[in-house]
Amino acid sequence: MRKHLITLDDLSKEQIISILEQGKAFKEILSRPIKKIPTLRGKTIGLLFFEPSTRTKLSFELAAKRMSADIVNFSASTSSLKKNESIKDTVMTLDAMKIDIYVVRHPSPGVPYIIADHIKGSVINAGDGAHSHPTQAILDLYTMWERFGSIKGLNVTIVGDVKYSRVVRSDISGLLKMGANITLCTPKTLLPRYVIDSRVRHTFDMKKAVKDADVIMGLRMQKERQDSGIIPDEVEYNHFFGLKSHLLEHASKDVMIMHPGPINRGIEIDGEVADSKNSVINEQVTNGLATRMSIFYHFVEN
Amino acid sequence: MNNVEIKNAKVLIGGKFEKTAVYICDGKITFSKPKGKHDVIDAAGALVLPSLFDIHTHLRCPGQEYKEDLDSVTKAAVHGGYTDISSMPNTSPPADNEALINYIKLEGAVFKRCRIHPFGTLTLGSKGERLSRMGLMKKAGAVGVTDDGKCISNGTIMMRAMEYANTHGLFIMDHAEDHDISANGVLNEGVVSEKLGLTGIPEIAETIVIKRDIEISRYLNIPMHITHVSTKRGAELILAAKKDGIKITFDVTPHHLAFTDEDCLSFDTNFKVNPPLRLDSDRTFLIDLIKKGLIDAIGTDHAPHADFEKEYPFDRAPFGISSLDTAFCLLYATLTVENKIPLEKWIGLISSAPRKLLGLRPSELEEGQRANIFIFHPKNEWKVDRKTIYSKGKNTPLQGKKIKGEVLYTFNNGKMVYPF
Repeated sequence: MRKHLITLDDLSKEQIISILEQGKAFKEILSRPIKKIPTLRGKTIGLLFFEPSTRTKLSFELAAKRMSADIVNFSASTSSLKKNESIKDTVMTLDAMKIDIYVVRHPSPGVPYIIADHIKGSVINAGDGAHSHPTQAILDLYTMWERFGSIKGLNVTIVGDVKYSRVVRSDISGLLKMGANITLCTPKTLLPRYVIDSRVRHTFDMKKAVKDADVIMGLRMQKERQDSGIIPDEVEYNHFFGLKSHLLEHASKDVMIMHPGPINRGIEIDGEVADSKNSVINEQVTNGLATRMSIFYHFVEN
Repeated sequence: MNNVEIKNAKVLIGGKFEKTAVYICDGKITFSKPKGKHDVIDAAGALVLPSLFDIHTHLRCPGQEYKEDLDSVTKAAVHGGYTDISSMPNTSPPADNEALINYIKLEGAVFKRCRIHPFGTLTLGSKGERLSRMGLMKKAGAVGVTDDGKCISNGTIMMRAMEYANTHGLFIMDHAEDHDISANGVLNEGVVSEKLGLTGIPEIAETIVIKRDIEISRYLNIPMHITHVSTKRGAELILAAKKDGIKITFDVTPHHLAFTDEDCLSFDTNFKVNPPLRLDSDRTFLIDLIKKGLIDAIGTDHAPHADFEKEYPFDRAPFGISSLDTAFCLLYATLTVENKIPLEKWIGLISSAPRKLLGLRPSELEEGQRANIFIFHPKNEWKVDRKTIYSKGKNTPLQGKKIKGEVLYTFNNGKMVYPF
């Protein structure tokens, strides 16, 4: 295993499968009455969150606790970094405290690499700007793999703010590695002008996008996109690109509805779709915990 | 000052290399052995070349001496073979009046290493609103005007500034960038920016302004120079305009000839520069233009920054490459070694061409001319690191790398200014 998990490029297909399989074992442990295991006893995990996060941070924290690791939290608003407190200096201070794994979230792409250059432990990227969010991709892959047995040949449709999404970049990278077919559906203003990979299809028509889909993944529409004139408004967006129940008729019968959360009901996804039996949005959260345990397991040095 | 004999070198005379001894006698070049005692430089394997002129240097002073000062920038210049540099006016405060032009000329001369030819701003504070005192700045010694770093977006103001600058016979340089389009971009928009999740600066941010500038230049019939053209499309537009008889000229930088946006894949902020490093197809097109003799000049856009600034994440670090120390070596490696363009075909772009553009006296390597020359050894290898570059800005992509080709001596007006 490589030392750092910064993008999915750091993992081979075989390594991803190994993480998924181990994740299944951890998921089983999470269903037991006593959920704690001693795997990371004596190890220290630093949670470095340079931008606000609730779900991801909670998930990492709980995964670490379930594995009996010690946890230290470092939260910094970006404004305090503007006071000439360089990332390098901050991280070198932390490294002097002998932390084994750093879980890093930062609004600027590439920061996990800067941190990796200045520490002795491992870095796990918990999201850097619009660049990468590999643990989200792993949990998404896990959710598909667990349901369908294999990801190869699955038709996965991704709907929403592709251009500014780290989740999409990592999901595409992982899904292509595992052999899925990807279709993006989003207005041109939210689609990268340069295609990330020529194997990825895109359409502006939701009916076409969901046709025969095994998985439909919605993405959060940020309010600021409307304010900066990238979409007209939420009503128009929902009309053309919202995930509505009548669209599901065109998808495959057991289509799985995914969303990394938090969801905007009535904007990118209608409530009845989010709450339908096809939806695995809450299951994704459980899987996130299991797969993050598996990632810790794979990345901690013995 | 001692007279000097440079022997065993190849000397670039009239566009051709000749193996001959060359003498510096009373500050002037001569090919006949002077009487009396003189120092001898054995320059076996080296080349004697006319000294270089940079049309685009960010001095950082006054106001940002933590990035660069007049001592360090003049050292970096002569270390790079330059005896003349043109300073950009985006200092703090901006060089928008005659007092600042005077300051740069007087303070720059203190170190007696190289000459500084200041540019003034086109508009007051480079704000793109009111005209600066261009006439008085010219009188104080400004060689040209530009709002470099910014671009005047208002067409009326651009036209007025050009007409007024032209009234005083000033050279006009434009940094072609539509700031509304480039907005928060930090590197070239393309596959690389999409992969890294960083906001791109599209090619059109440059080309749309070049197109406008061509039209303004044509309409007013006033010459204009576009600096640091980075795109194939931008260069094509200018070449087409030249064919139409429009008086438009342009320069490119060494880094746009040597690097591409793929170099940013490692998030190394030393590759963060504006205009951004473009695609390999842009790079090779510009090199091809040099082969064909269709580029007017090469300017470094020397932009030194402090270490801590370049240690910010890629999206927050400042734009710029520290270039003077290494520009010639990088050009030699890129153009002559990599692309087999003989040195004598392109050296004019950083020596005689910029002087000519600015209407300054040419400085040729000829009998009786002032000895503005440097000695370059094409085979010597040296390591670029914090100690071997003299600019305060250590922000060069070559940092830590070995480069072939070394400047051994630089003479300004017959005086050895490098080594110090």
